[in-house]
Amino acid sequence: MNSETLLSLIFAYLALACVAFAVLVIMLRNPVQCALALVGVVFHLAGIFILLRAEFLAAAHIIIYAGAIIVLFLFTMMLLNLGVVERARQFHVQAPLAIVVGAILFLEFVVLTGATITVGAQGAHSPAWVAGQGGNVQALGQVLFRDYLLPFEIASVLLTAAVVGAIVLAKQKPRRPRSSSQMGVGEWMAERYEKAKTREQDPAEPR
Amino acid sequence: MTELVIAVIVKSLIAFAIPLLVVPPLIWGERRILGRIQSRIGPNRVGPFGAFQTLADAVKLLGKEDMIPAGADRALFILAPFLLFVPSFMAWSVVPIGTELHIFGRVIGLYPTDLNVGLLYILALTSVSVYGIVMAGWASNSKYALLGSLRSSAQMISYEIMLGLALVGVVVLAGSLSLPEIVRQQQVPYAIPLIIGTFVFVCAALAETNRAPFDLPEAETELVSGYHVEYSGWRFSFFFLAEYANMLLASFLVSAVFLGGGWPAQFLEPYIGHLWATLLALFFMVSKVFLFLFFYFWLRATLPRFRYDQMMNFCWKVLLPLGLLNLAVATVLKLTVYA
Amino acid sequence: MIIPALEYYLVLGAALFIIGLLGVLVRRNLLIVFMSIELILLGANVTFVGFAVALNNMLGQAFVIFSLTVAAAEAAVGLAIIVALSRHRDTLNVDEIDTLKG
Repeated sequence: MNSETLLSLIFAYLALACVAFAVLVIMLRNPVQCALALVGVVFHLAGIFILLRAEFLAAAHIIIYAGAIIVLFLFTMMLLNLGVVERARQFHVQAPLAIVVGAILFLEFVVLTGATITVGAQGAHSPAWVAGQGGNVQALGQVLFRDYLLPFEIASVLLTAAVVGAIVLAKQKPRRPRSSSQMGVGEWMAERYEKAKTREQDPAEPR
Repeated sequence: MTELVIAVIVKSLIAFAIPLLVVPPLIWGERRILGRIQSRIGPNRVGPFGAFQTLADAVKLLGKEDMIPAGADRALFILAPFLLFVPSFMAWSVVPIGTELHIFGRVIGLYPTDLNVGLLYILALTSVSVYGIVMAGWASNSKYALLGSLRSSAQMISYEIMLGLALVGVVVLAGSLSLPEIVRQQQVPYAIPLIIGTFVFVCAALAETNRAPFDLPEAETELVSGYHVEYSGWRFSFFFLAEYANMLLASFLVSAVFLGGGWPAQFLEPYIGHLWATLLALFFMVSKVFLFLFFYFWLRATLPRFRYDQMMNFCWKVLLPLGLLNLAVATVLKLTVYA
Repeated sequence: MIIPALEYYLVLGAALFIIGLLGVLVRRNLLIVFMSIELILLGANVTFVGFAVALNNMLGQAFVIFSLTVAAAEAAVGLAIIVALSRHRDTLNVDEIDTLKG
């Protein structure tokens, strides 16, 4: 067996496992098991990236997806009450229609990839160039921090915004109301509105 | 070709055998040292100085009934110990115990593989081992186990970031993610210029391995023993083995990445020859590992456990700024001293 | 050189994309809808890396890093919304979350 067949076989296994786990993600009943299936997808996808000699991205996918995002999912599931959700009906009424449309779309993708793909101009980053930089990680670093530094910095702004947003959204309202001097204007108006609403609903209370 | 295959097989066997063989004496050593520190004797009945105590314990565990609690998620309950055990052993495939040995006209790398993303590989596997803990706690269908796993997943996600942040400083100085290369680059152990990073890394490693003073996930006195409360028999022994293998891994990492591996044996090479220098380097490496393990046990005997909020505050309000400071120091050093 | 040919990677990416899309369309549990969105992003990542290697252009790989950033940000904010929502409405069923007024 030459190395090309071997690599193709490895690819076949990884790709089939990816698709199988992905189907499990959308088919399984229990969200915790879905999350674990997603971990399976990520792992096999990392294998595919290694096949493509993108080692850094393989490791990054496992660290970010498996190590952060899906753990966050699991954490949320444990915080929420799942028992009720699991017994409920799982699929929408339009499921058959969606599957048909999805299948058509997939066929379209396949036909388009088979028919019209023409590999365009070769870029400057040939395998020889990558090896000259010292490997995939170094080459990616060169591109990212030399040519695309500004987008990279902007990505950090996005992450900061996400962190702040997540904290604001998930934070519980403080039990004890703060004194009005510490309150922001919007908060103060919201509180006045709430008070006015309860007065309206309760006519017994004198105005 | 065949030679290469044999070399790979032998190396992988050694990489797998190190944690398996070192862990039982390690557990015994920990119990003896803890006993000494706490003015007790420690295990001393089975074999000379009680050295076979761990084996006796293992036999006991294997003989126990294998129980799965009612209401547990069977599949996940069975899977959880493996999810913890497998990554902690997989990580050994990049851990260097030395650099190179030139012998019989060949070059033998004293590491299983030289992966160009070695550090990231270890970080990836550490992040995966969270699943074992989360699944064990969730699948057990027990309040204590669930509380333990909730605590530990929050703790491990947070401290994992600090682990990575401390290593970024090293990567900046060494200019490589490959572990043997990092060891080779250290003319002076990185613990000296990056003393802050070393502190951050050691704290994060303690928290990642769920050891005192960060042993909240298993806190015997409040959570019985946390996420593996419902496990018994050989399944429990898997958790135990994984924890100690992780500890050993952290010790090897600290020794290789921050303490310079076999440093300063490489400077003696012109005087005592290559073979002796390599052996000396191995000796230094192993002694550093055991010193660090002793430090682990010492901390466990000395420090009280953090409260949960203190632990989180320590991570985000102390270690994160320190880690960033470490990164700043590393960049300045890279531009001046290491330029 | 890329083994097997680029087309296989593209088909894999398309398959992951479509499965994710189906998940979004079909599932009623909000958490699983979110996981399906992650699948869509993963499909896009495969396509990016495949093209990057086939065209010898590192930009494709650099772009995946931005895609990862977006995925992380999306997961953080999305899960925060889910937590807030489940506190507020006590359900994660997309069919029941259809009022504009809280």
